[in-house]
Amino acid sequence: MVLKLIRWFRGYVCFTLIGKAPERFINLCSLNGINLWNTKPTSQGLKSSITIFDYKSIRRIAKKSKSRLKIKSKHGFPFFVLKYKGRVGLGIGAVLFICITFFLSSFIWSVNIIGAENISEQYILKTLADNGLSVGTFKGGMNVQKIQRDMIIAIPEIGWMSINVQDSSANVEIKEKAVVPEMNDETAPCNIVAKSDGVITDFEVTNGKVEILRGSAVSEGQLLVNSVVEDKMGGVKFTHANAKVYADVIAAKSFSMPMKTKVLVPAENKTKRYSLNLFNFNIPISVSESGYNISVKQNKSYRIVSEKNTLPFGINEETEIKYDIKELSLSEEQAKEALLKEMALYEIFCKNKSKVKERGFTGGIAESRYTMNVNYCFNEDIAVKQKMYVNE
Amino acid sequence: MNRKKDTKRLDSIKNKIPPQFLTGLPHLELLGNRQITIEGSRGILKYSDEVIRINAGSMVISFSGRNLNVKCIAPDCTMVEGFVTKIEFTV
Repeated sequence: MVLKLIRWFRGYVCFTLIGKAPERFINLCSLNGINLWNTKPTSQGLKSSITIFDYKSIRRIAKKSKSRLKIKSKHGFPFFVLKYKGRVGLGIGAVLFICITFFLSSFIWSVNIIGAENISEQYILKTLADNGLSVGTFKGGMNVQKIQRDMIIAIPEIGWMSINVQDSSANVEIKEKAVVPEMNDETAPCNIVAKSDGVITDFEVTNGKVEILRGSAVSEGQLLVNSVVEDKMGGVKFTHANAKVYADVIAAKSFSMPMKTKVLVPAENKTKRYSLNLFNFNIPISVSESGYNISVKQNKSYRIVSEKNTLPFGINEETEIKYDIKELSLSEEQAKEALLKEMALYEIFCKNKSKVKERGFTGGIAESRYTMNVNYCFNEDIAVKQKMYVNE
Repeated sequence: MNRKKDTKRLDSIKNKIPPQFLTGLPHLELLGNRQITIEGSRGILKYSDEVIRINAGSMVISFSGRNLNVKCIAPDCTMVEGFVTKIEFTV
């Protein structure tokens, strides 16, 4: 196969030899170091194949052996080139194609991130671009080791990373750092104190000496469960107190909002602009100027993806949406409704571990603002651990 | 002194070469009756479909058969291919 390919590139001719002494011709060829193949005897002489370089020299040998040569067919690359000699553009095009392919393959056209779970891919791409790896980066001037080091310094959440450049795509493999869980020292002596004022309703003590009763009132910072425990022998021992103490806690919260407010409302006007992304260069297709005072721009990118790699061609779509400033004046009812919603959100998200026992609110307009004062009675766990330092 | 060295060297070379190559006789290798390699050939005397005669120095070897052809030829080596029915040595 390789031999056939070499012969094709060098070019060869199939010829017939007409003469009475074909054996003399073969002997002379072998003596002169001329290689013949597919040599087959015929009734008039023989037929064989020879490279075009050797064909010139066998003319002399044929004359010596009193025979005549006749070319039957021509094969190979030199004849192929000769066939398209008149079509210069074809040759130039082929050469240009090879040159452009070689030139473009020396750039990075796709950056793939593998293994990012908690870190945003966009953030990694931006940091990579800051450190010298982005779409369109020249592969020759890229120091992969340095980028890896800089990236680990820039993003502390990355535990290990590797950049593998394959053809025109860079595969960035990331292994995030495992978060060390917070260690609770369950042996160090500590007391349980109240984190706020309240009336004790219930308690569950797993360790320590109880210092409270159900129905007793406690103030912030008061000792609830003592870590100092006496044993049967009358000795003193320091323990790690652990308890849940539920108490009714009275709290007040104020919600307020202006009666007149300015809001941004999206208008119906929007402008779409398209640009052709070619090798990381944006060539605008549609021409339209930005004429809005307040607007929001949305960018979408459509790329051609082959298997896992993103090709450096695509269309970018930019949508500019006009926003208008609208002055809203609320009625008392609307303001109250909005603040009630805000109150519900506060109870769901800020006091999710507490149970609302009682709730009472008053509202009114003052200084062009609607204010709602809410008085709560929560039933919640008020136990909080307070470390003790014991010197032996 | 030099002559002694040269003879010694020649002797060492001779010891390394198999003895059958030092006799001046042609070396024939047969692959069944389909392919024959002749080492020590000096040229072709007759070349046709049915008979190929090869000059092997001290003798002439002729191959008879069907569809005979020379696959490869070098100054001291010839490879004959085809369906060989008879090999004849003329000394």
